[in-house]
Order: sequence, then C-alpha cells, then structure tokens
Amino acid sequence: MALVYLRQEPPRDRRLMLYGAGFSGFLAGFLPVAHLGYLPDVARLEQALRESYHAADTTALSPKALSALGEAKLLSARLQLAPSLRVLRSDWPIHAIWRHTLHDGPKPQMIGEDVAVLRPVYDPVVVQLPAGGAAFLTALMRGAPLIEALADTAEGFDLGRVLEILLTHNAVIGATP
Amino acid sequence: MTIFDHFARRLPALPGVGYKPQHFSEILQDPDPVGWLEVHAENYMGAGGRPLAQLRHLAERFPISVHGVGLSIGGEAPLDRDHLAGLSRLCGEMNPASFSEHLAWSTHDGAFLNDLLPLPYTAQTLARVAAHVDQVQEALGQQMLLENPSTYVAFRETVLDEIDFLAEIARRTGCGLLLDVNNVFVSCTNQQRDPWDYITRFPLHLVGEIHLGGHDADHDSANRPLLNDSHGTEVADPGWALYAEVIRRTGPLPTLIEWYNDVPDWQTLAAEATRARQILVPARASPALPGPFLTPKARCPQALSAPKACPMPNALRSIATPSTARSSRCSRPVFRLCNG
Ligand SMILES: [Fe+2]
Repeated sequence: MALVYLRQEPPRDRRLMLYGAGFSGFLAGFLPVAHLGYLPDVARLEQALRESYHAADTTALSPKALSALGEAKLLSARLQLAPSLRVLRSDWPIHAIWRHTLHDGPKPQMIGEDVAVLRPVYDPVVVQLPAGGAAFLTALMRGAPLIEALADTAEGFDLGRVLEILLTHNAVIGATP
Repeated sequence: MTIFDHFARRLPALPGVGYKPQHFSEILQDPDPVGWLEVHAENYMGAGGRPLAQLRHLAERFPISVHGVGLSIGGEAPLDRDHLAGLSRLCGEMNPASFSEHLAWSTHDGAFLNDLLPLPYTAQTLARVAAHVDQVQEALGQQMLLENPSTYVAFRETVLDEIDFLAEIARRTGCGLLLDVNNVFVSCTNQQRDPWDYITRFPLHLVGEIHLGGHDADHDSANRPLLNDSHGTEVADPGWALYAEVIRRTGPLPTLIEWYNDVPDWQTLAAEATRARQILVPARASPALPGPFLTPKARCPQALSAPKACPMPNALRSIATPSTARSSRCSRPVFRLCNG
C-alpha cells in the first residue's frame, strides 16, 4: 500500500523524515483499505507525531508566570503555543486505536476522539482532549485571545483540564496581553 | 575556482562510523576506536528536536562529517535553492570537518527519488556537475568531497572515463574526492572491470575520505554476478583487500564504516572500525609519499587515538535515544515511510 502511494506521490521534499503529509488523503481514496475507515486518521496522527518530533525547541512559560498575570489579563491575553503542538479531530477513536495498536491498550470503543500531540521535551505524546478542547485550541493557535476562544465553547467546557494539559506538557511558551 | 584552506577543518585519519541514534549513549561512553562520525544531512534538517540536540552534543566531542544524499549534484536541473540553504544552515551550525555528496542524481521533474542514480560521463555533464560543485562550495564556504558512485551499467552516451571525469571536476573546482571502495568493487564487478586497475588509476592524492561498506550479491539474467551497495552488512573480504592497498599507497586516511540498513549493535560496528584501524596503524608507521592534497602534517594528525571514554552525565539522559524508540523517529510507526 505504501508502495502504491510512493509511486503516485513521490516525495517533493528531500528531507524524507517529513514525507507522508498526503498519505492520509491517499488512504481515504484507496479502495483496498476502504473498510478500515479509521486508517486515514491514524495516518494523520502519525504525521502529526513526526512533525512534532522535528519541530523547533522552545522554552515553556511556567504556570506561575501565567497565574501572575491575574484573571482579567489572562482572559484578554493571546497565548503562544509550542510549534510542536498539533490538534486533531476525528470521528474515530484515534487515541484508543493508536494505544491499542502500538501500546497494547484496551480495545477501542467506537466513539470519535479529539487529541493533542504535545512534546514536553523531545518525545511527543498523544493526549485525549475533553469535549470542545480541539476547537478551543485551534482558535488559540490561530492567535485568538483566550476570551474569544472561550466564547465558541459549549457549556460545561473544562477549561481547567485543557490548561492543565498545556502546562504540564510545556506547550505554553508565551502570553501577550 | 575557489581557494580553500584545506587544513583548517579536516577529519582525523581514523576510523569513523555512520551515526545512528540507537548508539548515542555507547558512543559517548566508549567510542574507541571511532574517532569521528558521519551523518546524513537530510535527517538533521528539521527545526529542532532530539536529532539536532544529539548532533549538537556530538559535534562538541567529535569531528563531524556531513554527508548529503539529496542534493542531486549530477542532476540536469539547477540545484534546489531551499535545500542548499538548509545544508548551509546545518553546516553553519555544526561546523563539520567535512561535507560530501555523491556524483549522482535523485530528482526528476521536481520529485525526489530516494535512490542515487548514475549519470553519463560527457563534456556536458562534466560542465554541469562542475558548476554545481562550485555552487555548493560557495554556499557552504568550504571545500566539498565528491564520491564515486556505485553503478550497474555504463551509459551508451558515456565518452569519458569515470576516473578522468572525477579528476577533472576536482581540477576545475578544487573539490576533493571521497573514494568509496565498496562502490569501486560493486561498479567494477557489475561492469566486468578490474577494481584493482580502478584504484591504481584513481587520483589518490585527491582523496580526503574513504567509505567502506557491505553489499548484497545477486545474479543478472546471464547469471553474471550483480552487486548492490546495500550498506547493510559487514565489509566483504575483497573490500578489505582493496582498502588495504589504497591505504598502503596513500598512508592513513579518514575511513568511514558505512552501515545504514539493518544497523548492528555498537560492538559489531566498533569491531569493523577496529579492523579498519588495524590497517591504518601500520600504514602510519611507514607513511606513503604525500600528494599535493594532503601534507604529511595534515595526514598524520596529533594522535591516532579516539576520544577517551567517559560516563554519561545525568543532564544527557533526556537527549539519549530512549531504548523503547530505538530509531530517530518519535514512536514506532504504523506505516514505515521514511528511512532514518
Ligand atoms: Fe559511500
């Protein structure tokens, strides 16, 4: 299968370590694996891990520095997130499938999952996001202030959990008021 | 032609190995007899992460040879400017003792073929390759070494001998040559030529580095031996014999054990390096006549010994390759797409 992809889509970039960006799109249209609907999304996750692994090194903002801003300032601030952060939304349980295939995790339940790929130091990890987390992070990554990104979330959105995920994985690298 | 200071930066006349991340800790703890490391440039052209962190650290302790496999110096198209800029950034940061590339091409119509393909040797290709080498040396601000390729058949258009072709490129550009002894053996066997004759005629005084590697043996449709430079096994006996003859003629030269596929454990790799040292050491006792490229002083650097062993400090644990991941990749891949 990978060979068919190689033939249809030979690499354009000589740094093969980043090759494969179009692989998930290829898989989506590849009939022999059409019954494995989740494959394109797992391939996207693999690509995100690869990109994260090679992303630029950054220094994280400490939780202390962030809380020192105070709530009002924090809400209007724009957070700079690490270039190694990737956010993926899927109709498939990609986190569970990934853990099941590679880390002998339990059998996946067939529900959609959103995940973040984070790199605390050198090794990227995959963390499952709570409901609304992917849209919220995507807004932050676009440069939206915290309060604006929050406006789009539904009631019951767990901001504390998302901030905890970011901070414990060194993913916040700056905050501009 | 650009004039380079041949002696400012150079590899020591010791065995070196192709660096693989799974050997990071062992190399730091006890590199003996390895005195320098070679890396494939394309694996270190990301923005950051563990590969670059490891390379930065290794570059502080070892002379580094950056070996490009993606520039397509022998290709018809102009060199890719972004790629050249990336190489230039990498070399600027790592300050390698040597930069080398193959006399080969690997891009066609903008697509990158992950193979190094041979080219016909004609006046046109000679002019083109010389221009490309000039461009690389100017961009990197250092002399480069051009490596003899491994080939399977000769092109019908070829009018120049490979050795004359390489020597003329070196004369026009001031570049040095990288003699891959295994490629000599592979090409000559595939084309029913004599590898001993090849090294006898090769301009050895231009050689700044030797490559030694393994190959796979097969047969063509006429049942003649067909060899493939697999870089996935020990150096074969004819390779060692050819190498010993080259060193007898040149005196000690930086010698790379090129083992990139089915990478063995460190002990096996170090044993190959030890075998190369056994050939280098006697050669040092009776140095051959120096050629114009290497002065006797440059050829016999301070000491013929590898950097000393030392225990790994705690601070390095995070950049060491985790034993679970045993690859330059972040995690075990579902799909194997890129080679480390
Ligand atoms: Fe080589």
